[in-house]
Amino acid sequence: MDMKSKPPVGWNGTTLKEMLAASERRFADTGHYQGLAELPIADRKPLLFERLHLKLRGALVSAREVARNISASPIVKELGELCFTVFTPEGDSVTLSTGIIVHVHTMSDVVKFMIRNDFEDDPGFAPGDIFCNNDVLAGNVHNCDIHTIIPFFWEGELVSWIAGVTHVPDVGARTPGSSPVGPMSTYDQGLTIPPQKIGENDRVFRAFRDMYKRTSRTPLLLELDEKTRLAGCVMIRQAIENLIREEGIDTYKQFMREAIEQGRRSFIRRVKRMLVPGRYRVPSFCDVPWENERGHLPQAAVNTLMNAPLEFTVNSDGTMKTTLDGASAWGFHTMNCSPSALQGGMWVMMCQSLADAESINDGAYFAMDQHFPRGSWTNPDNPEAGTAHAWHFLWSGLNGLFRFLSHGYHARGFIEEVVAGYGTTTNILYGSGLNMFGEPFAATNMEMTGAGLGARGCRDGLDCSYAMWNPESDIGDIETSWELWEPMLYLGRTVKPNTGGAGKYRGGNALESVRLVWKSQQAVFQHVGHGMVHVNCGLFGGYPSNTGYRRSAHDTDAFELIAKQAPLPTNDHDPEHSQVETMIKGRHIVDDNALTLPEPYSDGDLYVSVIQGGPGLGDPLEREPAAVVKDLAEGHLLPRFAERLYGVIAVQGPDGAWHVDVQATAARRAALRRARAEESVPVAQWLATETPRVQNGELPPWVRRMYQESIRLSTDWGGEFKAFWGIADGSAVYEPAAKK
Amino acid sequence: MRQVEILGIDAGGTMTDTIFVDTQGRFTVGKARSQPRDEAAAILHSAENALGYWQLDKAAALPGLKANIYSGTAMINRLVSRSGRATGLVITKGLEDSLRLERAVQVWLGQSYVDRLHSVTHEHNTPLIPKKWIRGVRERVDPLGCVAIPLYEADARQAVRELLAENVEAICICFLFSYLNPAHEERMKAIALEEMAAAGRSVPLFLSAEIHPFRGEFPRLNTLIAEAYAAEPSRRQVQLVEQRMKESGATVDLRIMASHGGTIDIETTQLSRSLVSGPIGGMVGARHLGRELGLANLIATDLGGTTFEVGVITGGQIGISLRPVLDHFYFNLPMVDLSSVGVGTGAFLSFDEYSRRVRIGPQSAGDRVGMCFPDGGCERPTITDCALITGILSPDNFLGGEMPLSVERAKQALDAQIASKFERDVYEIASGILEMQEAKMRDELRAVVLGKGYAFSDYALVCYGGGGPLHVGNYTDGLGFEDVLIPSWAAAFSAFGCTCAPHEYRFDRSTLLVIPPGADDAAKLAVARAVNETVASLAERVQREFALKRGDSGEITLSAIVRMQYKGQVTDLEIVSPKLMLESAADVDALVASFEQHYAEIYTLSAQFPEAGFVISGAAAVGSQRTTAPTLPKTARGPATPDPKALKGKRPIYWKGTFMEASIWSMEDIAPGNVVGGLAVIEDPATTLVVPPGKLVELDEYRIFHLRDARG
Repeated sequence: MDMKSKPPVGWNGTTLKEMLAASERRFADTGHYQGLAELPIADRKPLLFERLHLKLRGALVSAREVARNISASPIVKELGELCFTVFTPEGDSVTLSTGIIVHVHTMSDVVKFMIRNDFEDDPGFAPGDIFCNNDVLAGNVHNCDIHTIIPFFWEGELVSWIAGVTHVPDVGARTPGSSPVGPMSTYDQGLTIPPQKIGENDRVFRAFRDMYKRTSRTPLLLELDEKTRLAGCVMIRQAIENLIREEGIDTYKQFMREAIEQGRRSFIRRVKRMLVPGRYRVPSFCDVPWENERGHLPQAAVNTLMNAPLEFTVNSDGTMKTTLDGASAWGFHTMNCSPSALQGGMWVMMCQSLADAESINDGAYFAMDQHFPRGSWTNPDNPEAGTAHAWHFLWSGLNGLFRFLSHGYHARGFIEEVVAGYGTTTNILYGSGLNMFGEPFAATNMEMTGAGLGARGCRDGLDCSYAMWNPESDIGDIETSWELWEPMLYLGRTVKPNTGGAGKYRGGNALESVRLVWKSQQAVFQHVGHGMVHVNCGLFGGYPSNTGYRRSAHDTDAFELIAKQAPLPTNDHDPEHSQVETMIKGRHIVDDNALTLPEPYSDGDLYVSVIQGGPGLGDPLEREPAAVVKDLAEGHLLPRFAERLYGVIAVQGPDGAWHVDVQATAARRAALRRARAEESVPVAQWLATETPRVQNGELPPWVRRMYQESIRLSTDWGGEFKAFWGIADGSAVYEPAAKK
Repeated sequence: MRQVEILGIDAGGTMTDTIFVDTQGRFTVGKARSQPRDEAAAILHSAENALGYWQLDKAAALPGLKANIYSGTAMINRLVSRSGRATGLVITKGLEDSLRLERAVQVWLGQSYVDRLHSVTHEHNTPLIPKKWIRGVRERVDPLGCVAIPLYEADARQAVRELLAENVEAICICFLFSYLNPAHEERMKAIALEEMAAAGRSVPLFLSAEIHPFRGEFPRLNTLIAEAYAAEPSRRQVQLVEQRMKESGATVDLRIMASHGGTIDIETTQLSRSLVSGPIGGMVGARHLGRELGLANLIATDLGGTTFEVGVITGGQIGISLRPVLDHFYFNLPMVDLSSVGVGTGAFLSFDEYSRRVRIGPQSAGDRVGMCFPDGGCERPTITDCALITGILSPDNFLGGEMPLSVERAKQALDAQIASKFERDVYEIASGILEMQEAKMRDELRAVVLGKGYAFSDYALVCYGGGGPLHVGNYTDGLGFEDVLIPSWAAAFSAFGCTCAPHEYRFDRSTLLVIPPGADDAAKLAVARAVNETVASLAERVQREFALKRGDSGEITLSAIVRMQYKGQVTDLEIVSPKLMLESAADVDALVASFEQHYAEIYTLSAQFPEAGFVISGAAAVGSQRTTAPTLPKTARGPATPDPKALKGKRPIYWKGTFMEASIWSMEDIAPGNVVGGLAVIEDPATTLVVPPGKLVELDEYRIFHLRDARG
């Protein structure tokens, strides 16, 4: 059969490929989505526009609410990790439901992938067809986010695409969990479903279902999630049919396009109002310390430092450009990102801050140019690069986005919107084995959402309640969530002092848990965190938050202590005077390797989970002494840091209450300021001592390798780096021999 | 001589409503401004107002009362304003930070959609108990109910001694998994009693396993604290109301509306059950209406100044949620399941300059009404302003004309703040905004009804609340309800509902009983025994509560409820057990069959999956006593055409793009059997009913309007 004989399904007898090309041409020519200089509905009939928006959005939200009940996975049902969206035929998002809004754009990439790769010819698009994807190469964050996409036809034309995504609990990777850390590449990170047709007439092919169920450790949950997505899409299709009957097909078509152009304009207006034109550099770094990791192949057993030289340019017309030019290379781990994951991560943050959550769609995407260099971790352009835990680099690499926005907000007087950054949602406890009920478990402990939000423009950050990727955070009940899965008793779940960065306004502190392994069999647990580098930094003189660390105790005397009713640790508290080490005898493991592979544990062992606080804002010496004393009273600050960080001399009375010694504090602060002045050197002098070190490559090997990678991948960024430090072209230290 | 039989009280933050029902089932409604410092005075004042319409006084009316039901907001206000009593907390060591961690969810719970995403606005609530009054005691019970770490008794004694030294007025005890095994909480209580005796000072003790033995330590802790901190101190307040009522001639005891939809005695051991009582009344009233009219499936909608609330009654059963959110708090209580959206008639309107779009709410003008009320001090227009501008609401009929409103002020504000930004006519904008609000209400109805897997055509909708009748014609449009009912007393429907509630206690307990796939009879019987033991202990508690009230000897009807799920599932379903006690494997099979049927009805789109097995995740015992409830007065139907004197006149109304002439009717002059076609406005001092073009209403013999399409 001649493939080209299929009649086109686009509007007015065109193919989707022609429609996509025309849309891109119109945008390039005019700067308006679909060349829409005028918005007849939005401008002339604003309330009709609202009504259409409410109807479509309402359909998506109710579909999500109904469908989520079908799922048996706590990730979908309780944490709400599902989302539905409607696209134009070209694959541009018109509106979306609540939920994991990170996917505002990922599924758009999938639709465009199908169009560009001639899916219209093979397998063709027909009413009742079902498509699926979880492949980051086509468009996704990581492979546990599975997409169901259906075409919507009206009188023979493909009028819209409808898509749903859920975050499934296990993808059958080498190590357990939804976002496994342990696989070294695509080939051991579990299920990969490139875009494909998986059903007809609203029914999924049996072979497809059998395939994915055979791949996961949690086949039933995957099957119910699949039903959830398809049911939601079908409900939305029915709602759009009703909407078109009520309002007319031409109105609907016009509305879709205007909604996107309107979303673009709305975003631009906010940029103009709230930011200042210019170029903003907000870099960050992240460590993968796997040099001594047993069980890895040589190419994976290396220490890696990730470079995220995030940069934004705000243009005076309100458009923006972002680039990660200079990013280091992709590596043999699961933390590489696809461009669509990076876009998703950016949008989930924009929706919390700059973008209008009510009008979010692909319009905002059209208002921003993006560049992610090929070969880097941001765009590996290599099917081998693992991405199953892309979030690890995403939430560290994007930390600067809030810093960038906050500079604008501060300059324009939107002080209440300023936020210094956030703590990443690590440590994550992963594990598997048999639990207290003697049943197999594969756990991802979501209490990591008890990270700290950074200090805000006029107040402290938020303690123990922030997750960058889901602003509706929930650390869950011990009784209903964690101990039902994990064979570990909580000995304590507390606020960890000093995890938030110091500042005039301090960063939010984070959560810390101590677990006692109990009634376990064959249990392995894993630490997933950042131990070597600060992934955030303070704002306007504030300090970064804590780095993580790993602590565990094995072969302990915990049960003997319990028999004697002797004290047990509730937290590690001050790592320099560890409660766990003081109270518990045994083999202690404590180091900065906060990112490990699964390790065996047995009953009586202790596992400590330290999550990350948020960065601070402003000079700590400007913090109200009364606020420092309050932090002491509430256990947010270890006493010796009152003086060291804040210059506050606090005295504890016989009743235990803390008081400020006002005079001593003034004197101490003055002395600290003098000491700062004395330690300071002019920049030129500092450069004079540092430059030879950099030129000679006197850097830890992983730092040197990071810069080598960045220079190799980017002429611009590398050129700037070399020019700044006076590094000659061809320097052996920075430019390894070109690959054969 | 008219004989008054039932009194219902709704003591709200602003207004105190009372409703008296006589032996014929007729009722009279009174209103008075609330007096936070003397609640009883406001109630008596409101009662006088109500009785005045019947030319009765308190001395004549109150002695004949057979039921006196209270509902109010005092308790929740005590919680929100942090004005409860000094309470100490003894908790499993290591969890002392629970109230400031707030499980993270309480930093955003109760916020609007936009603010939930806008993370910089999130904030922790001030803990109800400060750190200095919290003590951790080392102990642990594991998820199987076994003791993993024994109670460290030295810690326990020390904790009580320290809290007594801090002069706390009550002590709460909350340990992990105490709902499975309360031994440690009970031992802690015994130790506390010994220490208090030794110290010569005694404070009341509250145990989480006694108050609400339910899975989920954080909402259980909140519920426990609410009881000790806010509910118990409120008992004196309701006792005072009862005392004053009795001094004025009442002989009957006061009962209070509980959040599960029954009324309980004010001596109950657990007053936190009535933490929310006002909005519950409406649901109970709707169920009562359904019983009287033979309608088993109802959607109850309450449009007030702040929110639009929706509840579902299926097969005569009110839907119950076990994890309600009140204010910013997450609780663990059986509560009538209501979902709400912030598009009440007082919702503020604004123009977003970036997106160039109109925003409705979520902030509300409350009793300040809108720009149209000059003394309200509002700076932004509200939905009520739009209703005035379009003409559906008359400026001279708000609260029976007691609050004259200015249409001109409403127009000016809407024009300046919104219409001019779009360069559109103020009428078009006002009408469009009403359509937006009504669309949001329709979305909420879709989410609630379809979200539970139900179909509109199986349900009749009941509309009440001050603003309901004004908008019902549009918010129900096109959804295809079986019937739409608007009681003529819609404005006082919640107080009415209180008078319809049974005297009823309900106690729940979490369980974890597995019925594996292919279970044999022995396994089923073991489950049956465990369910029976739980139900029996809860039923005993129900009996004890009834016994607290001296001389109350009515017959108690007991029933059992179980909560079930497929093994591994997250949500469970509530099933009324076919028998109070399960006697055989066949009884367990019947329970499973009932669950599977219920599951299939709700999740029609999903397959059942019995191959996973079943879990009984909770059980409850409910004990009810028959009470006097109003019978709806019936008047014979007359002709379809209303008496000409019912027609008050005509006025132009802006309706979807054009001015139309609307007929204006007096509600009290419309007689049963009368039919009024749209566009029409039917007015009464407390409410305004709008009949859209193409629709009509018919008043039935119970004085309930039925709204339907004019063309059948």
